[in-house]
Amino acid sequence: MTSAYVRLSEAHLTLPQSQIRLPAISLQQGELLAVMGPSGCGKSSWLRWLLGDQQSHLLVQGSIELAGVDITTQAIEQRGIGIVWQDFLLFPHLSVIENLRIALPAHVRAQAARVQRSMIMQRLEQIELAGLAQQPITALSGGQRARIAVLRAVINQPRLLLLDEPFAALDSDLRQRMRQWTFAYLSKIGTSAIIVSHDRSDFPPHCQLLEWPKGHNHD
Amino acid sequence: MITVSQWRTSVALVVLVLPWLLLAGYIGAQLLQQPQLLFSWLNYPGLSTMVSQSILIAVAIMLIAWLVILSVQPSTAGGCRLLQLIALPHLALAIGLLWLLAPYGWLWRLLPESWQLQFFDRQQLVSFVVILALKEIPFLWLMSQRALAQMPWQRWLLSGQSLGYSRQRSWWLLVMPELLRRMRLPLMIVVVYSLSVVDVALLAAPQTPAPLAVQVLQWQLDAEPTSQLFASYGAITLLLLAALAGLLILALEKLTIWQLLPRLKGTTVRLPVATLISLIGLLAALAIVAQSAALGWFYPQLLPSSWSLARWQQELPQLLQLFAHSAGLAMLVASISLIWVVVLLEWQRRGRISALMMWLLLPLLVPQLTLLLAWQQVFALLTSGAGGWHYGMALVAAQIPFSAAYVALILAPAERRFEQRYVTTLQSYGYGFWRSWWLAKRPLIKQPLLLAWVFAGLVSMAQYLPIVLMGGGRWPTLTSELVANSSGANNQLIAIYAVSQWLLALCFVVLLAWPQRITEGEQR
Repeated sequence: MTSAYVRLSEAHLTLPQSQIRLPAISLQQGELLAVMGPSGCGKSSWLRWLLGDQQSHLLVQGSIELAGVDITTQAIEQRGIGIVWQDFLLFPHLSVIENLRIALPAHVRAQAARVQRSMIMQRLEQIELAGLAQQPITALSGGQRARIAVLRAVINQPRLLLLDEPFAALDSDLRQRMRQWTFAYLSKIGTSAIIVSHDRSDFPPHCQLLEWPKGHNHD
Repeated sequence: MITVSQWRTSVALVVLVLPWLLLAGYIGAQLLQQPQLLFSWLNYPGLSTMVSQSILIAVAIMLIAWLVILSVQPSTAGGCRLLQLIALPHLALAIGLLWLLAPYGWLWRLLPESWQLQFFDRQQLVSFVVILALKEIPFLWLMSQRALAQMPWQRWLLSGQSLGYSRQRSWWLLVMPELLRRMRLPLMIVVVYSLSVVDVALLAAPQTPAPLAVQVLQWQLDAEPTSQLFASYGAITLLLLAALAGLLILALEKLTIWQLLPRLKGTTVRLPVATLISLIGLLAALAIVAQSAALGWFYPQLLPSSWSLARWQQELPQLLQLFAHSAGLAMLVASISLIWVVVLLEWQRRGRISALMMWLLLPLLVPQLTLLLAWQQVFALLTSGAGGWHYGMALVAAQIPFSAAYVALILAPAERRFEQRYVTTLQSYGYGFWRSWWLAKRPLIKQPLLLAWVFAGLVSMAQYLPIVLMGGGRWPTLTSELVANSSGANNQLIAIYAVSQWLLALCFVVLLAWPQRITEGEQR
């Protein structure tokens, strides 16, 4: 058996209306898994379960192994899993640089403010948004917010990144550009990721694809 | 094996439920103890008048409150002014209103003698009801506005109009039923308060005989064991009256929705409630301020013959001490209440505690006197011969449920609206839950948190019964001293204490003007 970086056992999901059986999934480091299914079928709830945020309406029987360690019962803060939400959820009370500073990994947060700032500015330059560092989040366009949201998630150096319909809130032109930018960026930094969407065109051509199984209604 | 979180949840549940277990135990014990005395109590002279007065007061307040809710129209103005009036403690407001509106009062010195309201004086049923109503209208008005803000009433009106109803008729048929349902709880809070209030009643309500709550306190403070048992019977009667009031409110609501609202066609009179009430409050406040520095202010002089701050200077050391006591107690109670409710709401979010809001709001739906008498009995059993700090702790503990109830009332909508994924996001960056809460949630719900803390402080500051019953009179506050002084004849001294109580309340309200960089609008 190959040593997969992310290993999800076969899982049974119990939702209010239905039950779903997900097959076992393995991901190599830097690999992308695309999960496709219609809206409202439980994909996002499953993603939050992977993150460690147990939803009261979802019961999952299954396990998550990350880098050889079973993290199923670990708290969110111990898992090292990052997420990009559909609505980005940037902190409205913080500026761009503050949104990124709060997401720095603990060992970087322990360093001098100058080091933190330099790291953030370097990353902002990579995504061509350094000029907006001091801007409030409310001053950014949709595309800029999307890029900051992805950067905020990866600046934390997660071992696995979850993307919950990250392009759904964007218009079609921007959506296309953001897809290209996001997958190129993830490939460059080599982060393993799981993306869920109801739209097949949201996925890059060469990735592992999982069609969300149809649920069985409760009797 | 019990986990830490299960252990914490169990402790929280016990703390939440314990006051009610004590109440149930108290009721059972008192009813079983010498049941023959129950008949003596039922034959107590004037009991039926006391009970009927309490019922009359509660029904009058219920009807006034019901009219206020029916006359509510969406408004964005006036909220701030009304909040300032809510900050005016009810006792200070009562004293100010009596000096303003009583037949010898300030207002009538400006107007012809024949215009005087002879019925509005100290120890008159009508003046007591009017004072209570004036104090409760701002609360009801603000709660109505808040309820409306949570309803898509504009869309409902449009739907009604698209079906051919006029705008006003759509208001009666579609918006008002829901508003009445949402105002059930505030209405109940107001009515239960009117049944159980003692401090304002001592000043403004008839005393021969007094409303039942006042008599219950007098029985309780009497050292005679029979009197204390009478107090228990009275307290249980207040509880029954509160339950009855709850049923009446439900009946009134259903009757209004089924019978009255479908027949209403006309428009409501748009009264500038906020302005009117604020004006009365301002005049009442002005009356006590003027009285506190007045020398020889006799009827029918419009202004005192001279002004003097000598009495203020004389009282200052005592006032400062009481100010510190009251402020310290209010801040401590408000802070503990806020932390307690925040923790419970977070645990509820994680599904660990169900029906939390019911437990938190219950102290407002049960006569305070009944609850305090039950707790006092247990406290007396546990701490016979204990030192002063025991009383201090009991006082703080007894105030927390009442302050926490208001905290819950204010925080619950903000809690429902808050997007908890902000906290989850920070947790995913490696922060612990409460650190994430502090960094993400606290700044985004800062305004409701501050409002809840201020309200909790105001509630604590205005409390009289816990000071008397749980504090054993060892921790006097501005409120308890004001009640003690208000039976005396020195108007200037009463006014000085009333102004001091009001100033303390204003200190809390001023905190609300703290620069609010983050608004709820930004959050959305």
